[in-house]
Amino acid sequence: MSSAMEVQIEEAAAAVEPAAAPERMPPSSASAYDVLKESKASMEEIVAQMLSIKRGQNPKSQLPELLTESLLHFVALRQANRSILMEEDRIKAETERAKAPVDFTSLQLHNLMYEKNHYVKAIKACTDFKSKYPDIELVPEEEFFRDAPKYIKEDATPDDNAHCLMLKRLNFELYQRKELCKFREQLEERKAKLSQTIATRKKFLSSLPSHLKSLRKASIPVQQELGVHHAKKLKQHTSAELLPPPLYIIYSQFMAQKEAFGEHIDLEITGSLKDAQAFVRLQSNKDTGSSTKQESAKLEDDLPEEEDDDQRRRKRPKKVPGKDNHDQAGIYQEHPLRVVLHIYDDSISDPKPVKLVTLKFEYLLRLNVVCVGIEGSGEGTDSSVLCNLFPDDTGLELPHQSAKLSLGESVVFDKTRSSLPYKWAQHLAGLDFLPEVSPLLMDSESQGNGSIRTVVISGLQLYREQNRTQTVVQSVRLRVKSQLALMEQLDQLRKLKWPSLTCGSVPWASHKPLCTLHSWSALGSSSEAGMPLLETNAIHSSVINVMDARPDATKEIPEFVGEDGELPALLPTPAATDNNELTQREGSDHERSRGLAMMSKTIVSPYKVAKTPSFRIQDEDSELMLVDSESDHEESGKTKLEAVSAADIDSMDAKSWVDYKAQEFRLVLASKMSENGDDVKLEAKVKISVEYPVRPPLWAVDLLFLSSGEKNDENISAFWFNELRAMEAEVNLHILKMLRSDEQNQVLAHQVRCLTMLFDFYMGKVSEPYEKRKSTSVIDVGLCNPTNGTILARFFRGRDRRKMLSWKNLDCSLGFPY
Amino acid sequence: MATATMDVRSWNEDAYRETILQERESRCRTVFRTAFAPSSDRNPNPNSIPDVIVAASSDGSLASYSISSFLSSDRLLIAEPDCFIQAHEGAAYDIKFHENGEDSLLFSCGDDGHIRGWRWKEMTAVTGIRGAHLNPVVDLVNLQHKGPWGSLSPIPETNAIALDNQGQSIYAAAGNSCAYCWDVETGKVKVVYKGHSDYLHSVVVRNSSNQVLTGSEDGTTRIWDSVSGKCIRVLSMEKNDKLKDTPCVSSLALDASESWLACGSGRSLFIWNLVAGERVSRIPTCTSVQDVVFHGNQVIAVGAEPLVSRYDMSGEIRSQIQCAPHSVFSISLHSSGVLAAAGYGGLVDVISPFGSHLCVLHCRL
Repeated sequence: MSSAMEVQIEEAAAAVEPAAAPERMPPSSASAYDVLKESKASMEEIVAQMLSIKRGQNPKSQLPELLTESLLHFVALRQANRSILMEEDRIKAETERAKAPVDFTSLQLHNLMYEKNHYVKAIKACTDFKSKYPDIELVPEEEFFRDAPKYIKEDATPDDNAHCLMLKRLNFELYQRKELCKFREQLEERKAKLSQTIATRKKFLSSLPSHLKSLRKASIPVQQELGVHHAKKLKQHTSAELLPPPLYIIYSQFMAQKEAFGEHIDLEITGSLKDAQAFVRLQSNKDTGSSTKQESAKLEDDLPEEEDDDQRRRKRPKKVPGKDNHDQAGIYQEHPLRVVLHIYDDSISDPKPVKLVTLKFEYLLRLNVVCVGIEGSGEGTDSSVLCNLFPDDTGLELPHQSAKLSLGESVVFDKTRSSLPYKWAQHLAGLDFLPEVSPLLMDSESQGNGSIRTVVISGLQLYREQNRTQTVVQSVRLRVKSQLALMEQLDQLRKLKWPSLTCGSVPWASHKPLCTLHSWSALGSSSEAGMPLLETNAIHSSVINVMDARPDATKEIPEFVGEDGELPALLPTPAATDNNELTQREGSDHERSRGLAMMSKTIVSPYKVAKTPSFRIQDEDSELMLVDSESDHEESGKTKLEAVSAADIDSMDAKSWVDYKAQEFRLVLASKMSENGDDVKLEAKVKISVEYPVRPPLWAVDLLFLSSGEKNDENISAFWFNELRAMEAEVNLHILKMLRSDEQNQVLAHQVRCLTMLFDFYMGKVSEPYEKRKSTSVIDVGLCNPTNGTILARFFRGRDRRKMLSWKNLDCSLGFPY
Repeated sequence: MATATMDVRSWNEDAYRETILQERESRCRTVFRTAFAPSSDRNPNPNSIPDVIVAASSDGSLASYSISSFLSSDRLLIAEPDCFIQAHEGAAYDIKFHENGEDSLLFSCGDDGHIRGWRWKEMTAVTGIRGAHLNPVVDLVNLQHKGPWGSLSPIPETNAIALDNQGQSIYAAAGNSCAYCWDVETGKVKVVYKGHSDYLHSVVVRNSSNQVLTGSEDGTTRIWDSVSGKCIRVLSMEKNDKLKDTPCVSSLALDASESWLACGSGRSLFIWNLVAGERVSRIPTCTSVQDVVFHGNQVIAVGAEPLVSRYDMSGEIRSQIQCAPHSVFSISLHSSGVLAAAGYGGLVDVISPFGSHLCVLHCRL
């Protein structure tokens, strides 16, 4: 039994020990642990004693003692255990107690955080607030402090609260705006009042013209009595107001020229005023709508009275100019008013100078061109006076591109009209600087449009600087005078009289003609051929084709002979090509001629076109010679006849416009050869251009041996070729340099006389025996007396065997320098 | 032309009149002589088309034209000269090149009696500027005759010049019936050939036998010894039966062998064999012959008609070519066979060896 007990105890001890061992007692319960440890140690000692007793022979008496002791120890152990557990419970309770406040405070913290976030959000929302009127234009702060009334400003200072300040400024703004509204109302009221007064005054003004009219009417008898032509002048001025701008410029500039420089000219405006007014009204209605209605109404007021003034005006059907009809008449529709310019001779200081010419300017509405014609061409002047007044101005071409475009390329100006659109007329009308707006709009609109105005003003200034009016008047005067002088000379020649010379200082003036003036006949004007102008391109190609197809074209040529018997050009090919070059120099020329070629129905053949008649002689020569050579030598036919003849050169230089309206005459001088009585005739063809005398007459001379049958004509003239050319050069060129400037109008007479003298000289020398006309000694030549109508010299000189001429006291020509 | 645009806005009548006269003047000018300039190449191909032609005109100017620049167009051109110098007062009658590579000289003579030599290199350097002044390298003046009381005759003109092979002597056909041989180095007259009774038209040099031939207005051709100045022979041309007077000898030409002579005299062309000393043929022409040149065994003659005629030695016409000038004063032949016919109207017609027209120049003032 005891052993069982021991085992139990040991087991219990063993069970206690592992339970006690992991338990770490806090220091407060250290004592209990100590007790536990001591009791355990004592127990082990006792057990050990008991074991030694049981194994040894020691008396077993001590055993109970030991058992008791161990029981005691067990009690102590239990006590210690209990106290440890007790301590543990106590500490747990203590921990629970300490945890409660911690939980409370953390909860509080969370609440506070939540609250804070809420506030932050609210603040943000406030700061982000936008006003409904974000940009109210406020007066600047300084102004506010300066101007705002006190009750608004109160005690605001710049460093005041910005918000308050803003509020105050807003208040001020409101105040100001209200004030302005009030002001506007006032103004409107005043405006109404003013317009009312204006209306009343207008009413008065509109009634005024009728008063004035009656006044003027009353004054007419008085004016007539006193001889004051105020009314006429006034009428001219009023009708000038109705002129289209180009004509107005012409009118005003000539008027200014007349008044400022005492130019011997007179101006008037003719045509139907009524039509002009109708036109103005139509124009303004069309262009500016109702705004100018008042003006036209005013014009209408003027109307009946004007009609009274103008008794002779016939009643014409009131044809309102329609802009839409596209027929020819529409194209050439002209403004009802015209400017008439009388030009008087200015050389004589006669109180009543001779009227030289009367020009009529008219304005074509659709083409926007000004045309000039001569009125009453009865005094020996015709329209050619105006043509080519300045170079390249035949008046057949429309002057500006826009007009050409509007009509299409093919339209050429109708030359049957009495007045033509010369370029100088356009310049005179200022059409080169007038803007291309519809006429009559200018005056009313120009106030609004400054740029147009300045353009016109500067244009007019240039106009005056260039002296356009003066230049034109002067040129027309010179032209008319020279035409008159020319007429006189032609008259003399027509009567086969030697033209008289006023100037005696030239050798041919004192030369007494030995030959006779055999005949003088007109060959007609080159413009009568129907095509005064050369066509270049189209003809060129066609001619080339012709030439290529038939190398011996010369034999075919007679079929191209024109109606008037005029010989066609031999080889117009190169001439045509060269005209290209020339026309490039003056491009407009080219276009015009193309236009003409398309338009004209009078073209007979291209050959005829490329021809300038004055060079027929040379062509004739070359043709005859060519035919000759061809028939003689067939092999020469293989060479392509592309040669350029001198005539081609001439026609090349003779630009189409130069020949326009040029007159041609044929002069024959006859001289008797002394030996065999043969007649030698000099045939001279002269082309007198309208530019006479600036472009002197151009002569082409040829020799004719008529009576002698054995002599071959063309051979003779070929034999004399160089001499004839020298004569031409002399009359065409050299003698012109010797003429005084005041003799210019007599150029034709001088040329005829000089030609006569040259012919006499050549023929006289020819008819002399060979030995007599030789002068072998140079000394004789050098010391020979200056000639006086007859010529002494070494006869020939130089490689071209030209005759020597020396003029007394004048420039040498042919025979330089003797 | 600036005047083409002249109108009322800027009117100058005098200037306009001046241009009209100028235009007329350019129309009645005559080119008296043309010459092909020596090729600038070292080894020129003799068959290539010449590039430069020089024209001497009646206004005393020498102008050179570049043919190649006009070749492209077949039409008549108003040619702008490459270089233009006013060489003489009065007309310039003759020009001759002395070919010597870089140092080629161009000699010109004229109505003022001057013979002037120009360095070709310097002339080509003168670029088209009008009025550019160029000094002649040589300037020789014909002598004036002294008359009674010391009066001086006018300076006679020089109608033609010829050069010898070395370029040392210039033979001049002068207007006072004499021909002169000038020494180029010293500028003095070496020999005077006196005997003609009227002024001289032409002169050629027969280098192979030291002879000079002159053609005169008196209707004779004389052969002179070039050194002694003695007249060896007078070749009289036949009297023209139609005209009462003896026509002048206007032009002379020698063939390459210098044994054949062609004389243009009035309306006839005479061919002489100088070796045999006799006239071979007389070729009648339509108009008076004004220049003549040998081409191989053919004679090319031109006159006061717009034709260039080729004849063979027997006087048969080989061909006739139409040319631009109506009166041809000069026919020049290039080694390539290119011909240049020049004359009245300031025209120069350049004709290819095949008879086609290479170009026609219209020389302007």
